[in-house]
Amino acid sequence: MNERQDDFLRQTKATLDEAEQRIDGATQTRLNAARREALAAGKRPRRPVWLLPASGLAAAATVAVLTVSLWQVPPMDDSFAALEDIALLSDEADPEFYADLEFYAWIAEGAPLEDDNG
Amino acid sequence: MDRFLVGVERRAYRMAWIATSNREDALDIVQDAMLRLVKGYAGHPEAEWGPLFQRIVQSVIHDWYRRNQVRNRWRQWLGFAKGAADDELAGDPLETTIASHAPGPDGQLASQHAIDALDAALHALPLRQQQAFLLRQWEGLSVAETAAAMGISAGSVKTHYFRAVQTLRDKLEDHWP
Repeated sequence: MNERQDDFLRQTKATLDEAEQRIDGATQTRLNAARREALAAGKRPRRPVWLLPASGLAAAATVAVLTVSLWQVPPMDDSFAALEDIALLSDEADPEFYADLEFYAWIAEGAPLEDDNG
Repeated sequence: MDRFLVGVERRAYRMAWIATSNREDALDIVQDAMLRLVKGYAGHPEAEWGPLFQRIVQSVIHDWYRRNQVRNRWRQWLGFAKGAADDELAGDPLETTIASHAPGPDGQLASQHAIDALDAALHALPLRQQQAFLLRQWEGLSVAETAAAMGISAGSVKTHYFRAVQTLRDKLEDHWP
């Protein structure tokens, strides 16, 4: 039983290694570009948050649309979940956001992210 | 830092791809994780970069997963659920993958079949199981290191990993050469 499982696990590792080797040239080119961009961005001085009008407006628009929608869709099972959704969608993907000190504090402290739902 | 990123980017991409099944999303995740590492930790000792990068990649994947869940929920509420319903009717993608890639005499084809089947089986796992399995089995991290990378307890890592192994064996063991 254990030997069979060990064989299976060795095979999965070998398969994952093989898949890594087979990453195609186009994807590797994109990875190279992503790396260069990340390294270049690390050398640029950070913009103050108040100089991010586009991301600020987008976040505000998302909050506005979703907040209005809350009154127009059927009641949710959990109204707190809806508020969490708004918060989650409104902080969409601006790299500057990740410079937030709160994130670094969280990651440095090893804050728990317990959940079994995925 | 450039040399470090060259050494880890391909695995990070593969992990992100398994989680998302989408090339663009996976590339975004990798770039986002690189940005976070460079901006936040370039000045840290090089020995710390590996664990930090793992932690960041897993948290970015987790954030992507949560956002995706929320987006799908809102799309359904707003009346765009037809596509999702059609997808459900299309059947289990893993079964399709296994059924449509019978191993042949060509070693290359058999190997690609194994990759496709494993990718599909991993993608079908709950995210936490998927992450625990990849970090423990592929990256070779200890339980404690995996727990740190995922931001959960060691006990949870053991549970997620155990469940992942059982599910993967059930789905794949009899199909692999």
